[in-house]
Amino acid sequence: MRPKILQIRKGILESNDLAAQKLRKDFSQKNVLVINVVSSPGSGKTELLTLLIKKLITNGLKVCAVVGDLATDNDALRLKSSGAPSYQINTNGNCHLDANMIEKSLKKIPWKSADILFIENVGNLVCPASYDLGENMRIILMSVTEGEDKPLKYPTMFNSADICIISKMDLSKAVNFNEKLALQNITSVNPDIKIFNSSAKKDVGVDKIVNHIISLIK
Amino acid sequence: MHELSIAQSILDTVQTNLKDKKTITVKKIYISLGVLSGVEKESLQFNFDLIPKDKLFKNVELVIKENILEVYCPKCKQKTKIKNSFVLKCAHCGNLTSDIVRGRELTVDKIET
Repeated sequence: MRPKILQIRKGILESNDLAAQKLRKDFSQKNVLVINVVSSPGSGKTELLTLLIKKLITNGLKVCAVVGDLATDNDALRLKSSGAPSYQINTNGNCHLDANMIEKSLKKIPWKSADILFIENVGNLVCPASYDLGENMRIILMSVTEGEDKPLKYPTMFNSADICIISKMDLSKAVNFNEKLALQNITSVNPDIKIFNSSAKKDVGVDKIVNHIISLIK
Repeated sequence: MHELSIAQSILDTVQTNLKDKKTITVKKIYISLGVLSGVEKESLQFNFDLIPKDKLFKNVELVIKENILEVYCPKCKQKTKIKNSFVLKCAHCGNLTSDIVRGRELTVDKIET
């Protein structure tokens, strides 16, 4: 029998993309700004988000958060201390969050009445890049301790983000951080990205991020 | 790291887009993989061969076409193929551009039965 060719022409992650599109529609109907936060493990996502959310709540906004980790609910407990209802997704070994996990987690938090929903992704600069979660915006964190060439090593993730926050700026002297080189590397793989500097420990630069997020809602 | 779930998604995508699943066996699956898709070719091939498959996919072969990165420069209106780097620079005028024409693909193109 002669081989028969059948055209398929479908995205490999079509089922995730469809689930994400549905989420995006739901989020937009309820007027919720959804922000997917990605970085390598230990860049300070939870530390920054806890302070950021506290400040957003002080500004009168309603915020919810879901956070993904392979195991433990440590990060959800830390995020809860900000005052926002927070839910921990345990991926049980999976290296990223997908749209179905987000859909399930939404049953556990009052996201419909929120102004902002933060999704703190699993700490990983590879896999989460491919998975749309229905977010409006993707923030990538890069801490000064990771090396200025992080964007060149993980271009896909840096290219997929809308905002880059350089975190742990209070340590920049100790690790001899070359800010100019870091900025050059970030924009070389993503010329349109917006960049902020911050130190959540010292509460430096966080207000600028707060103001930027508020400007997106109003 | 997520190539195992991508490999499974490839089989799922083919399965959901096939009408006649009972009488055929899929011999080859052709996919396109952009260098900026976040999926690594060797690892995907390895994981694809590893996952258990039912009768429909018995002895199936995965044929991967790797797409290089190509950008369009709105300033000088020319395209640049970018090799061995991910710096989105126009080769003609040096401008950085975020207009990616090719390199993000992650698609099942066709199958051979």
